[in-house]
Amino acid sequence: MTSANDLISIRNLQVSLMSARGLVHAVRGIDLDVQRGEIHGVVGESGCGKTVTAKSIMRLYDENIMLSGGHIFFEGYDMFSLSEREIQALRGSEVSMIFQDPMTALNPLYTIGYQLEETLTNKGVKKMEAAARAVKLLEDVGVNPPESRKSQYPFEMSGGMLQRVMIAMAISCNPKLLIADEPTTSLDVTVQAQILDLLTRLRDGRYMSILMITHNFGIVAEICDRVSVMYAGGIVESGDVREIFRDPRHPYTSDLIKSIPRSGTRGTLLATIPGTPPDLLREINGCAYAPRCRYASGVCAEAPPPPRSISESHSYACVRGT
Amino acid sequence: MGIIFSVKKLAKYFPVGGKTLKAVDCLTFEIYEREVYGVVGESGSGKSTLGRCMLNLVEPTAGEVIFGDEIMPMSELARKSPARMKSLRRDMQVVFQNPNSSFNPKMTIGRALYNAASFFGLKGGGRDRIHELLDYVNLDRSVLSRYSNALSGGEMQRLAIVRALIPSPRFVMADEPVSALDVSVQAQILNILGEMKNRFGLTMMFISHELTVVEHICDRIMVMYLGAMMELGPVEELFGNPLHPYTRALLDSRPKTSPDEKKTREMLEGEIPGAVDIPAGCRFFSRCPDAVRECGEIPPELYKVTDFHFVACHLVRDTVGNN
Repeated sequence: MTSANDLISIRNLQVSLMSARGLVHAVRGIDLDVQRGEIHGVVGESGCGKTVTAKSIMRLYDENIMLSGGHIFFEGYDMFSLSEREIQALRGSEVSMIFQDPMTALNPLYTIGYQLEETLTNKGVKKMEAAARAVKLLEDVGVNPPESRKSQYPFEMSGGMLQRVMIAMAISCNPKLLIADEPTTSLDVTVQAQILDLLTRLRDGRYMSILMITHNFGIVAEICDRVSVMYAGGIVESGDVREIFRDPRHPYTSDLIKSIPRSGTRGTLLATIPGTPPDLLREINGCAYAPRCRYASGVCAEAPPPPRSISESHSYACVRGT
Repeated sequence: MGIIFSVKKLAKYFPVGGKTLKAVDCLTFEIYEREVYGVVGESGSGKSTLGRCMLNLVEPTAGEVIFGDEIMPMSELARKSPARMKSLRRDMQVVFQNPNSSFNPKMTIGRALYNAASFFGLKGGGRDRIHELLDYVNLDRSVLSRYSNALSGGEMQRLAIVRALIPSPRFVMADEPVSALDVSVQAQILNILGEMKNRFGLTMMFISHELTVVEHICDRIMVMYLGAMMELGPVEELFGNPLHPYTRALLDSRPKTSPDEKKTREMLEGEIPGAVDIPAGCRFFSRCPDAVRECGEIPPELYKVTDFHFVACHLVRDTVGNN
């Protein structure tokens, strides 16, 4: 059940998308809690449903996406009972989001100062005050010097600077949750390190929660407190980052961690995962990972594995006991 | 160890709005036979332009590249000789980042591969060779009748490798070959690329912005910044004893591999500037945490630390002495 420390609780979320080939079950019943002040990672490979999950919280659905079941509780309120207007009031002020490519998220025809002030005036802040706050926000996220940067257009700024501007916009109304969808994937490593550092500082300074969507286990190790590993629309393992790195219980998690090159893997063969993820057009009866899992047995294909907990802060879904 | 590639004072400039963008500026290095030579750097460091110059895909502004008997830029006469161009293409092949854009979507995979085989005049249309290579990359022969849109990124990248290997090249350049792939697929491709060198007696150049990938697969690594070499050395030495402040910063900015890893990070400020208006001194001057006045005025030469380890940094010269 949800606890008071949970900012957001997702229960049995199911989301489908209409594709040219039919209905894709992109998210197949997931539970996920983000606590206050934590950085919670959602890690998985392309097509595992991590972005759709994030968008469900903001209810940023394209026309082909439909919610087929479940609940999202935000501070105890069921978000799915809210009207579009009520959701709109929440966007930005309670929950906000940044994306992989900041260039396409900003309007190329307006200065970044204008766009930043607009997010504030839209929430009822007076124009004069918005201008002052915009400068302060840019300073907070390291866009220097803020006064002259304000009058620049997106094309005049680098990818790293634009992502900082996006972060400034996202935190402008002091949201309790920031959803970051692959925020550093298109950036260089040195800039990625700067952005990760900025996000951690903002979390510490504002006691904001961050839901970090990523395909990169290194980013999870770097800044996340807890992590949920997604595969084929489901969460296969979830818990404290240290525990999961030390003792991954789900075969997918450990296979994935082993396939990452690191110091010491030189000249060796990396572990690979045979096969491909399942076709989400079809119903999956048993464990979605079973066809690729080296430990799979008959029972795995029959029924979905029950969630198991090995500690209060670590659970996984696999029939293989310990 | 024979030398397969010799790059001498290579430069490639592009005109940009009345100014000059120096994508590659006076680079000199050699690639030895049967090694995997890594080139790392952030976007805008000139690593892809360098690759294109070496493959004779763009003409350098100055300098030359010697590959076997061929000297590039080639003379007008040589360029007009189909036989010489074909032999060059047979010997040097390339695998790009995005395999989907390097295959024609309207052609079956089979046709694309057989086209390559017949261009190089393989026996029997290259059927045996293609089958052998498909087995090598672990793909079923049924892919031959399929189109690229029906295949995954990992399958397509394996096919790009097959196509590159068809003419039995001596040299394969891989330009960010795993950057667009998921982790589990990335491992499959890295395994194939890592084995290729021994299996086919190849030399490879591996361009990447990802240090862990480069460390895994390369023998020697060149670190580039704004079109110039910052540091060059064998992998163990470069990762174990990085000397250039930029190399150290790159290594420091790698995300941790485990949350338990202790890390003292020297965060690099700012971002790589544009390659227009390159500063007078060291190119890394504007971001270097250790810079002294001299660095802003005089460009550092390449100093030799050991027989195989070179660094372009004034501060390193002072510590190791000038050899």
